[in-house]
Amino acid sequence: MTPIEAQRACLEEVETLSGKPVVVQEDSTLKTHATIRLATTDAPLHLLRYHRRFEAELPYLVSFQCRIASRMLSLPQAEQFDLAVSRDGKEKANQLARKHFRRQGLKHPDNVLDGLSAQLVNGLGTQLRSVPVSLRVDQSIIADFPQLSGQQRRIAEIGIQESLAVLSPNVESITPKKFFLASVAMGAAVAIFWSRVFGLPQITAAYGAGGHKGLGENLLDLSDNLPSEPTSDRRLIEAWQVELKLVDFFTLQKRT
Amino acid sequence: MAEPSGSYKFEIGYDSLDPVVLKGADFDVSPEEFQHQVNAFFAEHFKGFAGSARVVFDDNARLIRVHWSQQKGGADLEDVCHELLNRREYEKAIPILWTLIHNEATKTNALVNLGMVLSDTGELEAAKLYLQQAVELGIQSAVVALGVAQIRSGEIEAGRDTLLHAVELDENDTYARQNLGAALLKLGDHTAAQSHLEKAVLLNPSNFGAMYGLAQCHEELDQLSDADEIYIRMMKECPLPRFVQLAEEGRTRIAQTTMRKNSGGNLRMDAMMYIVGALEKIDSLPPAKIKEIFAEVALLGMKGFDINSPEQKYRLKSLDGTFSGLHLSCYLYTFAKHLIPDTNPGIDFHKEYEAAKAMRGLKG
Repeated sequence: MTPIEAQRACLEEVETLSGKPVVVQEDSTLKTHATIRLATTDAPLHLLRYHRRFEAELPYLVSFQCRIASRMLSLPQAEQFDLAVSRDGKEKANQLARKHFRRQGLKHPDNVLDGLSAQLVNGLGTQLRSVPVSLRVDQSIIADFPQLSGQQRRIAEIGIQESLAVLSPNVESITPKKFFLASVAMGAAVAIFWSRVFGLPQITAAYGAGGHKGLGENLLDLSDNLPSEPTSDRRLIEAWQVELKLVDFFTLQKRT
Repeated sequence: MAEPSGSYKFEIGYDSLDPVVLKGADFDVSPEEFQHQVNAFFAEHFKGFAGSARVVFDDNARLIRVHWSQQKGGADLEDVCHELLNRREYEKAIPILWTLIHNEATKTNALVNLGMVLSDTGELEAAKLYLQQAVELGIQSAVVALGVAQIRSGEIEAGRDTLLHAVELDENDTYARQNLGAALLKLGDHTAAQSHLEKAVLLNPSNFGAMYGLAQCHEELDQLSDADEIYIRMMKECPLPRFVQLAEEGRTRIAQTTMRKNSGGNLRMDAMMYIVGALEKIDSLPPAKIKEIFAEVALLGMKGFDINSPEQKYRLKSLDGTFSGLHLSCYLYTFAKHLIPDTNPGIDFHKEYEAAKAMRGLKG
């Protein structure tokens, strides 16, 4: 099977599961490599967008996004879920952030601080929703499509480098400790995962220096101890949420 | 967004270091001891590692900057530049290329790359200048790039001659064959273009640019079924949406040409009657129902309707019955004209649409 055939197989998987087509579109305004928006009652097709800069890795990116979508679509409608900031969580995150900003001497107008706090908690939620499942998907791609390994590695390396930016003192200074530790731990889990795949323990050096490897390894242990089927994704995210002490902030709710 | 592959860098504050790094010593150790402990930690981590690592201490910012690369000696400027070019980050690559052309060791490759980047960004006069210099230095890959820049700047015949020379230098250069084929296609020499494009596809079956050029040649030479076969293959095999779209448009064009040919260039009465039916639906059904049918037909039509087969092989969830490709194409055209009048529905049923409206006007 060629990379293009792997891409096609993954596209067909989504189209068969949902009965709706996937439209692949280039989008140079995208802030990430690729993304998929699932069809809804108002939008009759799945929209997969990718950045042209990553055209050389398109078969992997399409396969990855389709596998993410397939995991969701393979669940019965009633079990499909989204992660959202809970009502209490929004307030708690805001208080936590304000306390942190005060301690750091950040004197901005209230609306700026509110915006920053919302940005931090939403970003963390996106990370919590995507990272554990992404690792599952990458594991399945390693097993099913070895012909995508080169492209997969290039994208993984870019992702690892981007995650390292979170360790910077500038980021740390504007992030409440609880959020910073959770975010870095998820970055560490990703780095440890790839360090095992590539046989390159050096990738984790940054997290070792900051003392974050232990929590990263705990997260991967949680993944290893749960079945890898999509039906376990909800429990997987909940388990990471508990380990990262984020239960107060997010809730898993039925996908609309 | 992207960092060169196999090369990592990060920074971490003195205050964020894990105590284990300092092996239990507190932060009041002398600066020398502190640096020694941190260096020892990273040396232990990178032990047996074949690449290179650099640890820099910034006492003012109380920061440690670490940069490591899987390549020995670290990622040099050429590697960084290569990665930027792969990612089409031309704005970042150009200043590096300027630096590299002033170094004798890196000059030749940099001249070709700079010429190609300038050509891709539309700076064609400057591109030709650098590529000409590279050709004079005997760089074979520059010949093709120069030919492409010449074609882009409208010097089609000069581009053709340069690319002919490139093919003489390496007859198995698929990129040279592809661009030579494109130049010949523009000059109207379709038979010669076809032969080079066929060879380009044979040399690299994933060269979808050459494949598209070859399909265009077949269209020009009125070999429509050959062209259609290539478009079908592109839609099946090509991962790049822009080529898939070109193939879909090509198939629509061929279907339309075949349809017109079959009717001797006259009005298609069957199409006109289908359009009358669609107009009647617009009058009799609620607007939401029309939108629903339109959305379903549009989705179905994304993979192309077989409009030259009378077989009623399509079904809709929103409307009972079975339909031929022509029937649904007429629905698509009519509903698109009604819902989004400025749109280009792809296939042209203008004559049939106007005739259908006139006929209904006469009736009404």
